[in-house]
Amino acid sequence: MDSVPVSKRSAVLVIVAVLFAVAVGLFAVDLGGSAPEPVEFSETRSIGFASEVHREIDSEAAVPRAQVFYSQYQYVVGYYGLERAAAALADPTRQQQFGYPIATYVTDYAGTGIELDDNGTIQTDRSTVWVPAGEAYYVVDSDARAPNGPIVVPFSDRAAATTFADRHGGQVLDWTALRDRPVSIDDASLVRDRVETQQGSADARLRTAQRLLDRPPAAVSNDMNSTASIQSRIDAAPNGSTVVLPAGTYEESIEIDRPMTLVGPQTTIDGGGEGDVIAVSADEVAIVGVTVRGAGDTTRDPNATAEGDWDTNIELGYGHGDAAIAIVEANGTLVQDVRVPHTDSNGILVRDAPDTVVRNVSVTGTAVWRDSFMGVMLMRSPRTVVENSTFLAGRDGVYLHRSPETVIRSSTFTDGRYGVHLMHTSDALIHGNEFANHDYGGITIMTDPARNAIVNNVVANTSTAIGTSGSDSYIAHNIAVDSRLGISTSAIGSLYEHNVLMGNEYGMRTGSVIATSDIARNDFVDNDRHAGAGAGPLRIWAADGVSNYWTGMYGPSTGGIYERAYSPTDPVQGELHRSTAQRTLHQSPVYEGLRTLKGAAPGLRSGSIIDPYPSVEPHNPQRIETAQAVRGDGIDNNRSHFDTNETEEPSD
Amino acid sequence: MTAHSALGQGTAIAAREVKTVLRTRIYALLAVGLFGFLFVLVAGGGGAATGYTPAIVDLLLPLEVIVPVLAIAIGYRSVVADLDRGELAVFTTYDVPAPVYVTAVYLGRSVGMLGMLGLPLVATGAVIAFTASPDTGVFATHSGVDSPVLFGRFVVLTALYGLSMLSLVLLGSVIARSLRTAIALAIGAVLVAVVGGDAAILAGVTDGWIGPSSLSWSFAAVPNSAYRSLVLETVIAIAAPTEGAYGSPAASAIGLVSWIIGPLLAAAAIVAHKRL
Repeated sequence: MDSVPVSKRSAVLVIVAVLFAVAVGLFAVDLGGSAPEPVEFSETRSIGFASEVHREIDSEAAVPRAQVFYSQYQYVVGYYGLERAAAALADPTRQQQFGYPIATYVTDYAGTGIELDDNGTIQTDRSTVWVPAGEAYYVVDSDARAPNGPIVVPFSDRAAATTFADRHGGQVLDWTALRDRPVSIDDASLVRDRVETQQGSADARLRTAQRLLDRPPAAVSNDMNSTASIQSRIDAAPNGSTVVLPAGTYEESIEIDRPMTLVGPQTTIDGGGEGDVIAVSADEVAIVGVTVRGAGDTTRDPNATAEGDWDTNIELGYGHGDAAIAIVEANGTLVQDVRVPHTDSNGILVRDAPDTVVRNVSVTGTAVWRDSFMGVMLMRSPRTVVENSTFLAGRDGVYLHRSPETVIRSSTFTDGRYGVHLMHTSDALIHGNEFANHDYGGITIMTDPARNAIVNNVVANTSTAIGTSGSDSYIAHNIAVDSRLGISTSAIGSLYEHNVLMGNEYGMRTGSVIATSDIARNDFVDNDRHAGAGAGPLRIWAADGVSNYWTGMYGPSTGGIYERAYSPTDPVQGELHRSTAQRTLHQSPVYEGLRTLKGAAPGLRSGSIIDPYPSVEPHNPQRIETAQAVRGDGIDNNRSHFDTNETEEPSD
Repeated sequence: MTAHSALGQGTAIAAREVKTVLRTRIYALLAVGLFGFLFVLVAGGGGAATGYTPAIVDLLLPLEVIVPVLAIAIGYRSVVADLDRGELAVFTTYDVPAPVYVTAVYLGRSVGMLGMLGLPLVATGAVIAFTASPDTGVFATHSGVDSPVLFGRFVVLTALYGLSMLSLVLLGSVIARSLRTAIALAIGAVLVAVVGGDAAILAGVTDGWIGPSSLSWSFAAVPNSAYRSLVLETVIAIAAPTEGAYGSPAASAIGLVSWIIGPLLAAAAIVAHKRL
């Protein structure tokens, strides 16, 4: 019998001993030991303020911030406002998606020379540093305010906090007490509650504008015959009167620089292809019933500036092109029953003109969208109302730039680049519109605004039917059919509910790496892919124990909810509605075991969506019927959805 | 017979077993195949792109099934082949004590088991280390509590599970009188322990004789449940906030080690008995 040499034997023993020590050591290591160091706030994925609010803040120090390191989330999450951080930390679904917080830091105002100005805005001499949240003291209910309301101010030592509270009111709490305090955050559910009141205030603006129709007719002087120019009639009319135009075509460009109402139901005004056809520069002007053509073909000022950010050029250049009707620095204008049968530039240009009302208007642009500009160009014109209007071809139906609180409703947009295009615009309501055949998008929000509502719209055969951005928005009761992408869920902290996505290449697709939106009660019907996700943590699409309806899902159910979770990003489940053969694989115990285990472990899994409570029946059956009708007969034959779907009760 | 010579005999037998394992090309092929399988699992599950913990979640169930199969492949011939070739009789002539013989065979085979299981797992860990990267460079990133240590724990636990399975298979091989009965017995032993144990726990929970308080202890009695509860508790639970435990780690660890030692003791007793 061979024997093994002693030296070799000892070597083996040493190796075994080392392996054993390593194996035991692996379990002895304390993994929660070292908290990560804070990072620059600009390097966090920050939540809490729209770009609109950022403009109002002079310095970052004006708003207390927090940064949280989660156990299962590779990004550091930054929060503007400690209220928001506390609310997020209390939210169980966040923990499910990000893991538990392993370190939280807040900005320390001790030693910064903190003062409040007359608005309660924080002013500091020195910048803040980061302090662990558990070691800080918090002054609540003081006079300190951010643009969106009162704010909590953190200090690293109690004395500094007490001094601040003595001078500016409020009380001092520790971290635990602060987290236990009930908070209300301006979030998407407030936007949902706001839709009705916003409709009401749009109605009120409309009523105010309609009063301009009651102005007395201007007396027509004897020397003014029926061929007198419109401009001469306007010049002769007193302030606050109505100029009634005789039927006919007038070849001239006019300017209205005093408050008056222009009415010409059978009148065509032709600008001859130069500049603006009608220029409005006074408050409370109404233009009713006219047909306007012959605007110039300058779409914008191309040489506005080469300086500044990418959008500086847009802000200075857009809004300076030609238009059929140009309303500049004038408040409360009404444009009603106006037709622009063709324009090579803008239809109606509204610049620095708040409270404009545009209704029953039609604008037709060029067949190739690059050859003309916007149906309605809104530049820095808040609280505008656009309703019952039709926009055909051209670049964008309605383009909004820094025009918050605008309401766009019951209008039709076809064959353009974008239907409605928001830039730097928050608090808008886009309601009950129809969109079809747009090259880029039906409704598109850019530049991270907040609190927009997109409700009860129908979008068909468009690249991206509804493209969101920003935060705290409400996207609900919409229908998207036959598009490349139904709804992009890029807006964070938002509510996506009661939408129907049918026959799209992708029903919904999430673009944001922050998974903080509620996506529930939507119906996904016969899309190539029901949903897709980019990089980021596992997305859980459910809210309050209710989630979505997906065609193709099947199996045992309890109380109208399938017992198995549904994952639209899963290669087997995501294909169930396309191939019956997938069911054979779906039934495999191995597959089931793997799925169950994945669902059981929380934490990050890049690019995945899971719906824990898939519904057996659709949530919005009536809206599905409308979607089918739109797909079958085209959007024009299905206007009735405006009347019916608003009252549909959720089926859950 | 001195203790020294028993050790000498033991190491010689163990070395012979290691040589047998190394000579058997199919084992190397199995290791490569296992790595390929694990790679597909972590790549397909998305775990490789995100970190160790998601990858472990992807691997846990498949390994629970595959490790017993590997143990059967490595171990079912170990003793019965000696019987077949008459070598067992030779060892008897040399007066090798039954415990020394069984331990030596087991240790030798376990080197093969650990190599076949450990090398693909470590290679998979290396793949994750290279592929799991942040999705963008724009923002600051950190690794959370995800760490290679967690994967290391997973490898150690999986190895322990593999060793317990190997021990069971060895017991089957000792009982068997031919290669054909050996493979049947090995499969039987593994099935009884793995499926039967889980089924017993399930039945216990269903019928009520395993209550909520004793459930986490009952996992210790079944090797794969002990393995699963240890992985969930010491690896996956680290990364996620949970209330309560997935099992009793100490009991599960003791259970798993008992499943290594117990069958070996039984095997030694049987070998000793057969010689009488």
